[in-house]
Amino acid sequence: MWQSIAADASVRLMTDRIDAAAPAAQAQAWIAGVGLLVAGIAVSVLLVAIVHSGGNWRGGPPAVAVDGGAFVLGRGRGHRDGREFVLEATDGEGLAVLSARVAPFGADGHPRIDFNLHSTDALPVDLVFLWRTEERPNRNSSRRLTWSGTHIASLELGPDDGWTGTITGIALVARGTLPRPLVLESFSVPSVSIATVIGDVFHQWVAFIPIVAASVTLPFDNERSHYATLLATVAAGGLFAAAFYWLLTRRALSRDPRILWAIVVAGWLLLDLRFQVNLWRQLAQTAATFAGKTGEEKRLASDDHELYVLMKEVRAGLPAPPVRVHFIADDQALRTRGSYFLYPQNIYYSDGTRARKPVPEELRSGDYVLLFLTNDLGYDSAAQALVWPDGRRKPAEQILSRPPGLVLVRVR
Amino acid sequence: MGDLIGVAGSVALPWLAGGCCMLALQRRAEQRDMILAAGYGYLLGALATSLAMRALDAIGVRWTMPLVAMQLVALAVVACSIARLRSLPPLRERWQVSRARIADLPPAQRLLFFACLALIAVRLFGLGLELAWRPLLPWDAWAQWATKSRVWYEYGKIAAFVDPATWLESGSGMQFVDAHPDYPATVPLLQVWTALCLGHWDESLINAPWLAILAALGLAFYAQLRRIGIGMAQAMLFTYLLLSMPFIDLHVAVAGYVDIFIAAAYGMAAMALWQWVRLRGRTDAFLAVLCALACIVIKKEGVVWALTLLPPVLVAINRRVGLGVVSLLGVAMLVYLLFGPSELRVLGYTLRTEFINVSRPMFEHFFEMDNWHLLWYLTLGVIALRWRAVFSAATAPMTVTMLGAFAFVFVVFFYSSAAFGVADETLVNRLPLHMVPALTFYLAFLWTQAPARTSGVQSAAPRQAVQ
Repeated sequence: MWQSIAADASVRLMTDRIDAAAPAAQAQAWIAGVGLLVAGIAVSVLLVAIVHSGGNWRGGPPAVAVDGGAFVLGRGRGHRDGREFVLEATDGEGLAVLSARVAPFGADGHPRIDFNLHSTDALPVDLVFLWRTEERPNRNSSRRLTWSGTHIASLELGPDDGWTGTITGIALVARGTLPRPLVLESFSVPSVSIATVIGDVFHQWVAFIPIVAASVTLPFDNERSHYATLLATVAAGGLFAAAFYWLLTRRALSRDPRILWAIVVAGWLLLDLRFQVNLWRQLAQTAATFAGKTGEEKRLASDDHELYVLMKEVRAGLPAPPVRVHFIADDQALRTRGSYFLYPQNIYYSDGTRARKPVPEELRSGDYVLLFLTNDLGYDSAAQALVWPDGRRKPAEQILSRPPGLVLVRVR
Repeated sequence: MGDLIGVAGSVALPWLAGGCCMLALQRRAEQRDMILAAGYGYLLGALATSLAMRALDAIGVRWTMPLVAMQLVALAVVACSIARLRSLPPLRERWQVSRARIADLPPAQRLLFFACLALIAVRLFGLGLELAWRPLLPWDAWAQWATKSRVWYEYGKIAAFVDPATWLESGSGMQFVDAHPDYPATVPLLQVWTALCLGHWDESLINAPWLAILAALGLAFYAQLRRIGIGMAQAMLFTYLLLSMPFIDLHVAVAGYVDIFIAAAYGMAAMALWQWVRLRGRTDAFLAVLCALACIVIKKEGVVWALTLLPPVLVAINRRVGLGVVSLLGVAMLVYLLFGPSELRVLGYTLRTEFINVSRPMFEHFFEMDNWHLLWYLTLGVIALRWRAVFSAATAPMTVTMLGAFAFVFVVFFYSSAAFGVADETLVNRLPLHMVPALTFYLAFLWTQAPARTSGVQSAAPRQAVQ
């Protein structure tokens, strides 16, 4: 019934013979391949460093650093907090301006600027960097800043941007509405020589990339601000290595494909080593946060524990499931995430960025309505009624109220 | 400890039932391939589990772990009787044969084999811990997948999920709403099954099937590579390359999206189909059909992925006719995109005839960021080096499959409402993920099997390339 050798044994036997047919020189081929790749990567990094340092082989000019606390508020609302500046809000025109004078420095030797802004996530405001030069004191130049995850991406500037001459003043402009304060820690213009760029490149490669909710779609978003990503560098290094090998052997009758394989596999292993180490670092963090905890304790240890605790109170105010609950919140994330915490109750929420609120006729007696930070639908506790902006009303009794902005009612 | 037993049982029982089904499919004893059975076994077992739960639901019986388990055990027993298994497979003998084969490898090959195996084991172990500790994190996981499993687990049956308008109209207490009420139930049912085995709802451990499907994919991939004649060390290396891709691993570490399941199902379907093309075995054909059906019941887009498996069948039967039909289909698609109606709703997407350029985020995510390691560079490199072989008799059906897959991604990305998801980078990696296991197998086949006709690179020993 059972045979010890599978049906495609003939195939396997053949391939095992192929496996066994390895020449003795294979170790040399692998060493050569890895060596070529290392050389290729070194050349790539050097080219990147030359481009980004403007060819400064020796130490570049001194670095420039300005603490957030040294900035002056021109428009908007905010305050100094030690060495930082906390920008609280834009003005009535949706504008905030922070400016600072700097000891004059040459733009040519400082092609990169960094704004160190602290935020838990990207804020929905336009941020613009402005600067003024000694040569053109009455003219401001500007470049828009972009978020990279939770921080502002470094800005590479050149003469085409107006980044030339001697820089004398800088400013940060915020346009829009700040949903929460923005903390400016510092502004810095690093000294860029080839050595510093090479150091930065390696620093960027080994920087920890945490796993966040967005990792399931764009896990390496942080790489956007890198001088050159590790993948691009390994790929370029591999191409250099393969080209170099081809040149070396152009007069040979045949080439050893194992060397090409070694280049590819070593490149892959290098990339994977970085990823594996990152996974271990993440695992250590995950273990410290969640290991050994119950489901409830894990929720309380999560970033959104405040919402969870609030929804737990709401759950306690509801009868045994399933009851129909209309979850009304203006913010899509709040109503989607909040609803999840209320399942297995029969939760209604509208998907999409704009909340679709029920009209009075759609609410049935016994339905629950959870109002959470919403403007369009209110509750008149004196009259015990839900109130729509057009004045329509629906009688409802209050079950729970948690200021600011959370009310749970039961439709009569 | 109880949770560990529960999780182990929730994975092992479907795996056992599916593995037995695989043995029943490979009826002739000399056909049996234990690694292949183990690889495909979990996917088949997971499907069987969801069907068992649907059966109980259909007759109005509340789900309990014993009731579902009994059906799986019954399936395993029936499968074993069909397979005429009256004793346990001679695992020890097989193990000894495998050990002997590994011992016969030259030291460098052996080192490569075990190094890759160790790297895979370390990766899976780490991902398992991450998955076991971390509660549901990504958006879709708790907005449209675990919503269903949470509700169904609570009520012990499949409660209907409806769109918001229906919910507001009906007033029913047992019709629910989430972000995508129309999404298939298969994977949420697996989460419910895991919770039933645990005896309680656990937001972390319900994701155990994600680790299981990754391991199963690795086994199936390795076994299929071996079947096409790739040596043990090379096959293990390719398996490591597949399982080490960051985007695949992160879909296990941050579990909750079903893309990894469709990637596994489509990959296994394509590999089985391509084996059928080579050997014309009924088992492979049946497996390909089962896995294609799995694509359909896992996610709505699975229908299109399954459809990409039809043209290669035609090419396999008659290469000229098949390639002619494929060319006509390509031309028809092009004509449609140029002259068709401006909008058409298909499977939740709006197909547009206006070109939307999303090549920039695609380039960034495939060639700059480390989402896939060197996969896309290798794709270009292997195709460039083996371009003469891509439409050879042996390779044409595989190439046509991959062309269909690429065409699907291309149309969705550049000519549909999903372009927004590519531009804002939420979709740019997820749809290609579905085809990556199949693509990796294709590249492995092309590189190791097809004759190299390029000058300069030794063509005589492509299989010795990594020795």
